[in-house]
Amino acid sequence: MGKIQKDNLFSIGVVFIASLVGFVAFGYPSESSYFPRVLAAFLGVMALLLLVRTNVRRAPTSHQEDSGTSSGGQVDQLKAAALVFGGVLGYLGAIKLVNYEISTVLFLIGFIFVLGYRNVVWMTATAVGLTLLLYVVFFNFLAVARPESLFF
Amino acid sequence: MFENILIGFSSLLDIGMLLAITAGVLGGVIIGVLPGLSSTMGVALLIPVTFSMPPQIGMGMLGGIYLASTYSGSISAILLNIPGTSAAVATLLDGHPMSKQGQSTRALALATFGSCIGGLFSVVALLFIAPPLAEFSLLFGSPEFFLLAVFGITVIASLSAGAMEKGLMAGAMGLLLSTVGNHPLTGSMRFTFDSPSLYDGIPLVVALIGLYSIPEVVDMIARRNSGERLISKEDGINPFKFFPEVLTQKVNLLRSSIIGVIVGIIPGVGCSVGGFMAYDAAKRASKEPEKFGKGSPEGVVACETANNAVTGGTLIPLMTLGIPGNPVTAVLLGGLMIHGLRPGVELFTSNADIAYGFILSLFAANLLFVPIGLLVAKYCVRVIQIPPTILAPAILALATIGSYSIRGSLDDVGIMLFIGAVGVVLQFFSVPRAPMVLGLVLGTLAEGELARSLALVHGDLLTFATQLVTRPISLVILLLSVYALYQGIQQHRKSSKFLDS
Repeated sequence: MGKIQKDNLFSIGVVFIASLVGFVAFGYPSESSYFPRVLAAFLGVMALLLLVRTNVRRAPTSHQEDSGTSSGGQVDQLKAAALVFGGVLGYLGAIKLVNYEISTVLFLIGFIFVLGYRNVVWMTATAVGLTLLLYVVFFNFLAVARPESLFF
Repeated sequence: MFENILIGFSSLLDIGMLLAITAGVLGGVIIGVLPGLSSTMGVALLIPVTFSMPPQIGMGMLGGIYLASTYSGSISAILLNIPGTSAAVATLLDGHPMSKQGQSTRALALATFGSCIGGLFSVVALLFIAPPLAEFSLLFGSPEFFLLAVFGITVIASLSAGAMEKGLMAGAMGLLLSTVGNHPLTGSMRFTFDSPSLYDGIPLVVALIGLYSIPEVVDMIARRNSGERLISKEDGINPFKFFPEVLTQKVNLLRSSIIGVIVGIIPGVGCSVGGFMAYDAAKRASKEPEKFGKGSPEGVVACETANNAVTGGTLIPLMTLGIPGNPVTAVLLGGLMIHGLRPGVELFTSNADIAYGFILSLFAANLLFVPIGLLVAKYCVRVIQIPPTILAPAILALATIGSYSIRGSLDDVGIMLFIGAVGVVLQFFSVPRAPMVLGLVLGTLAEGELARSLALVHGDLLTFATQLVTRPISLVILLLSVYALYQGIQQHRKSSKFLDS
């Protein structure tokens, strides 16, 4: 996706979000919502301005086209984002189901493995060591209550 | 004031404080050395760790991370030609050529001592400029505080080079996110979707963790196979041998320190700009300008002195007026607020032990990063070679527990992921994230002060608008905001012309 396409997509997305936020904000009492109302309007105007400026501007030079990430890079970014969000959501689910310590060790080993690291000894040592460190810092030193889980 | 400095000094002598500063400096040096880990992310991730500490100790630790990571970006810049942080970009120009000429230790030593001197100079400036400026802030009322918040966002957004509309939009998005939860005066719920976790708004630290850790990890994973590894050889010379050489550059040190502090005071300009400005000034003043860019020791000293002098400079408007000059100080402002502190005169009077303890802790941090930095530099190549395959999941695990620990709620991890997704989208569309952070941090202040200002004039918008242009301080801030926007538009036009040509 080129720079112009990206800017267009971003502008349209922001116009949509601004309309949605403005619609919801107008449903609240005016004395409590003038700030979000003004912001939604401002956001919408700025997005439209960007949309107009992007398309009125003359055809992109090769320099501008180059400034966007390559399509291969974009696919890598999307894959990485899917992996991160999927991984953390799975980790969150595991914490709620099993317990923090087991979930953290499994999450770390699984994630390191998926990213292509294959040294089992280092992988396990890192996962256990880091879990231990986080446990000591947060649950012992800072006395944070452990997350509640269904089974353990 | 000297009495307050003594109070701060007694806080500094606390063993817990010294341990916290040392830990902060060590963490900061490692964060700065690792390309891809920013100072902002480091401070944001470690705020939860400081949560249960006394405020001055927690702030001392965060300050240590900020200063040390700003400095240590130069280590990987010199040794590997990869700036660990954006502050070290100017250091690349001469630092790496020196390293390639077999003068790694000399370049590292010059950078370290220059950073230390620049940092110490800026702390002294902070110590003497901040308290009188804080007293001046007593003249501010609600309209002025509202305009200050607007000014802070305007400056950062307008300085988002070549992306002013996007910067302003990101600032507005941050402000919108800060409106989630109850209204500061009426208590009405907004955008909570009946979720109790959102009644008090989006927790600032959770949002900061999401906005700075998730996009960085996504980027790290996407680029994990493209990392270039350039390794410099160690030359085994004692780095302290070069301390007298730094001291011979008195004019360069003084000029770069002053440039750094001034650049730091101006919101939105940042460490890298300070480094480049000092580098340019040193080149103009040098007897050997032709050596710049080819391994000039003067160039290394100039940019490293200036970029660390920026750190103390950025804290001057932060601690006195609550204006964060860059994303790291925006996060530090969040740290102050979490500890129940508000920038301004009260911070220097009622909480003098905390304010002065914090400032003096920066003094100690500037001294401590010399031995720690030089030690880490020795093993730098090994530290940098921690593969992203291990670093990325470790950051995610820390971000998860850090978000959870703020309120002991797993819902906050979900909020962190949502803000992280916003950050990833912004990164994908090349939208700067710094204005959003400022919007988030300053939003509550802006809305609260706006609500109070309007309540004082019984909701009459015309009277409120008249106040903004008739109160002298309001008018000055308003004009500054307009000027910042004008400057942004000019810069934006220049960038567009450059791209079109």
